[in-house]
Amino acid sequence: MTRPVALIGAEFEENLSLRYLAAAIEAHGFVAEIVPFHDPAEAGAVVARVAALDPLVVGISVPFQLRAREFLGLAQSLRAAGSRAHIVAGGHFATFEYDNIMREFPAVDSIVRHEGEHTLIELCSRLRDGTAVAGIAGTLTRAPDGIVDGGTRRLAPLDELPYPDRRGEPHEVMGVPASPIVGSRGCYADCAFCCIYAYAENADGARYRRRSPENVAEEMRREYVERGVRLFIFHDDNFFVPSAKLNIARYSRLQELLDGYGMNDIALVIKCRPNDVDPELFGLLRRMGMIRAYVGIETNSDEGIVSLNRRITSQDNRRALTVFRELDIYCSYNVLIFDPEATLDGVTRNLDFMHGFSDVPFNFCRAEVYAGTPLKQILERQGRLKGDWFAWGYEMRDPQVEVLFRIAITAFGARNFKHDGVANLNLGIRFDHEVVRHFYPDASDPAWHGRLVDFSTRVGHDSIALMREAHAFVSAEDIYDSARVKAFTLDLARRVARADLGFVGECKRLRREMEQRVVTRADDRGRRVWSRGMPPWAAESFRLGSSVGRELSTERLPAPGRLAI
Amino acid sequence: MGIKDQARRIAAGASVAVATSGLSSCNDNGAVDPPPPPLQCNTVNMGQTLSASATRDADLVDVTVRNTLGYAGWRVDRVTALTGATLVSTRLPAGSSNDSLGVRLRLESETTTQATFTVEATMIGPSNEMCAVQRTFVVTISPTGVQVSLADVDRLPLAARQRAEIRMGNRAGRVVELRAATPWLGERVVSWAVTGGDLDAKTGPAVRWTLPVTPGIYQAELVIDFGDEGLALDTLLLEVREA
Repeated sequence: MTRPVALIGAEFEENLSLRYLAAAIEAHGFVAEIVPFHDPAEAGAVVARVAALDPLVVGISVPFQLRAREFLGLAQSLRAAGSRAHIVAGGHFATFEYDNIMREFPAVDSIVRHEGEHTLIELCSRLRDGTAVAGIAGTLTRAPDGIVDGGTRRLAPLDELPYPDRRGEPHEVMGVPASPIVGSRGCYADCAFCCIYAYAENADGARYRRRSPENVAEEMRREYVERGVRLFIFHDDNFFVPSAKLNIARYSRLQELLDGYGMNDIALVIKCRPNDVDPELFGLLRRMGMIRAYVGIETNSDEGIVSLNRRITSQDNRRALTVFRELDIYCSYNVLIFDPEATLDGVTRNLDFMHGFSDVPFNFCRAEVYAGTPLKQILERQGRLKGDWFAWGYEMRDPQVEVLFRIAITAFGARNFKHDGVANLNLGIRFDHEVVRHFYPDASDPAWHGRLVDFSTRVGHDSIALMREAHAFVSAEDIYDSARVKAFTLDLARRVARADLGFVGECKRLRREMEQRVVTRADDRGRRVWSRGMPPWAAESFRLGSSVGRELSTERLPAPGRLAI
Repeated sequence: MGIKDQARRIAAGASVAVATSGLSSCNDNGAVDPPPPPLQCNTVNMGQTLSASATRDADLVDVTVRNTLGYAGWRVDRVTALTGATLVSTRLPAGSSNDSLGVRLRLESETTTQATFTVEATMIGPSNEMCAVQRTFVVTISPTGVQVSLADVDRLPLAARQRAEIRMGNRAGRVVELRAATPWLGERVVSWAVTGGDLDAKTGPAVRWTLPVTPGIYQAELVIDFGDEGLALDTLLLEVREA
C-alpha cells in the first residue's frame, strides 16, 4: 500500500491551499493527511503525528512570510526525528526564496513553485513509482550534484481542478455553517507591495484567472447540500475584473445558477479594490446575500498612491466607501499609512480619511516588504533593505515619519496586531452582527445596529486622536532625543492600553447582548436551522476554545467560593 | 468536554471564568483581514552590537570588530567596499559570540586620513535564528592616533523594534503567574502593573497576580525597557465572572 502524503499548514479555517492539494492527489490514488500546524508550541506534536504516519511525502505550505522560519524549521525537526519522507515546501514564500531555503534548510528535498496541484501529483507519482524526481516542471530538487531546476509549469485552467477537500465539519459563525471558497486566483492589479501580484505575475500563465460561474455554483451547491453551508467566504484576492459590465454579467449568471439550485438563503463575503465598487454591481451582490466586503483602500495619500502603484485616486477611495454607506453594505478596510516614501502630510491625509469613515472598522500598518514584490526590488536597488530574507525592513525616507512609525508600532502593537486586539474585536463583532442581521433578522434592529456602529466609530476616533498626538509630537519635538521619545511612547502606549481595557469590556457586553438577542428574539426556524440544534453561543464557545493562539486561550478557573488560595 | 457541555457550562454560569479577553478570532470566521505586523529581524540583532577598535603601525591599520552581545554568535561572510586602503588580511570569527573579526588594512598613502570597509555578516541567535547585516566602518587617522566608527548608524530612537509578551504560567484559583517573554536576551528592565488585584512584585521576569473577587475585566501591563535598544509593552486582560 502506498504510504500517505502529509500536508502541513495552518488550519484556523479550512486551508484551501492544502485542501486543493489534498483533493488533487487523492484524485490520483494517494491518501492525503492534513496536519494542522498553528503555533510553534505544536511542533513536537506535529512531528510525532507525521512520524506515526510515516508518509511518502511531507508537503509544507509556507504561505505566511511571518511564519516561514517556523514552518521551515519543522522540516529540520522532521528529518532530525528520522522521517524518511520526501519533504517538499511550497507557497508564495518558497516560490521566491527557493535558493535560500535549499541552502539553509537541508531537510527540504524540493520546492514546488507557484500553484502546486499538478506538480505535486507528478512528484508523488514518481516517488511512489521509484523514478527520479529531478527536473519535474515547477520544482527545484536537491540532487547529488546540486539543485536541479525543473523550470516553470504552465498554470492549469481552474475549472479543471477538483474541488477542494472538505473533510470535517464546517466552522460556524453565530451558529451558521460557513465555508471558505475561491472563484479566482491572482489579481489584475499590480500594487508594488502585493505578494499576490508578484506570485501570479511570476508564474507561467495569466496573472488573473477565474473559474466559470457554473463551476463555482456547483461547488457552492455541494457545500449547501452536503454540509449545510449557508455562509460563503470568498477568499479571492480580488472578486472582480476592472469592468462593471463584465462583473455584472458574471455575477448575474452566478445568481441565476444559485437561484436555480434554490440557494436563496445564503450570505457572501468578498474582497475588492475601490475602483471596482459600482452601485449597480453591488446592488446585485447585496441581493445575492453579500453581507461584507473588504475594500483594499491601502492608502489615501498622494505619494502612497504613486509609490505603492495603486493606479486609483483618492476620489475612488471615497466614492467606494460612500457607495457602501448608501447601499447599507458592511465593509472594512486597512490603510498602509506608512510606506517608504510616506510624508507627515500624507499621514495626515490618511488620518483624515480614516476619520471621515471611522464608522467603518479599519486598521492601519506599514507596507511590508514581501518576497518577490516590486517594493522589494525597488528598495533593494536603492540600498534601503535591512534585515534578511525572512524579514526585510526599511527606513522611511523622512526621519520624522520613521520615528512616528516606531512610536506607533510600539504603542498600537497590541491593539492593531494581536488576534484578540481591539482592532480585530471591532471587526469581529461587526461581522458577527451582519451574520445576525442576515440570518436572525428579528434579533437586530436599527437602534442596536446603531450602537455597534457607534462602538466602531469611537474605537476609530480613539486611534486617530492618539495618532494625531504622536504626529504632533514628531512634528514639534527633537526626534533624536531618545529619552523624550521613549517617555512619550510609553505614555501613549499606556493610554492605548487603558482605552483598550474599556473597549474590550464594552465589546464583550455587546457580544453577550447580541447572543441573548439571538436566543430570545430569533424565530424558531432560525434557531433550529442555523444553529443545528445547539445554542447559538455553542459555536462561539467552540471557537474560543479552539483559538489557542498565545493570546487567545480561554482559561476557566473554579468559582471564588471554591478557591483554595 | 464536548461543545454542548462547554456551552451548557457557560449558559448556566456554572463556573466562574477567568478568561482572556478574546471574543471573535481573526483567523477563523472570515470576519477580519488582519494587517501584517511589521516583519522584523530583531530576534538576534541588526548588527547594532558590533563595535570596533584599531591600532596603527605606519601605513598598516589593524581593526578588531567585536560582537558585544554576549549570548549570540556571528559569522562574517565577507569584508568589502574598501576606500582609502587596501585589504591585507582578515581573521574571521569562528562563530562564537566572543570571537572577533580582525581586519588588516594598508593605507593608500601617507596622507590618507580616512578609510572605510564594509562587513557583511550574519548574526546568529541562541535558537540558531539568523539576521543578515551590513555594517560600514570608518577609520579616521589623526596625529593623535586612529579611531573607528560605524557609518550610517541608525541614530533615531527606538531603533530596534522589540517584542514583549505576557505568558500565563501556573494558576491556583485567582492567583495567576505571569511571565515576561521576549526574544531579545540582552540588557532589559522588566516592570509590571495591574488595574485590579495585587502583584507580588513590580519587576522581574515572572510575577504572581492575585485577581480581585469582584467580577470585571482586569488588565496586566508588562513594560520591557531595552535601554538604547528600544521599548516594548504588552497587556493581558482577564475577566472574573460571577458564579
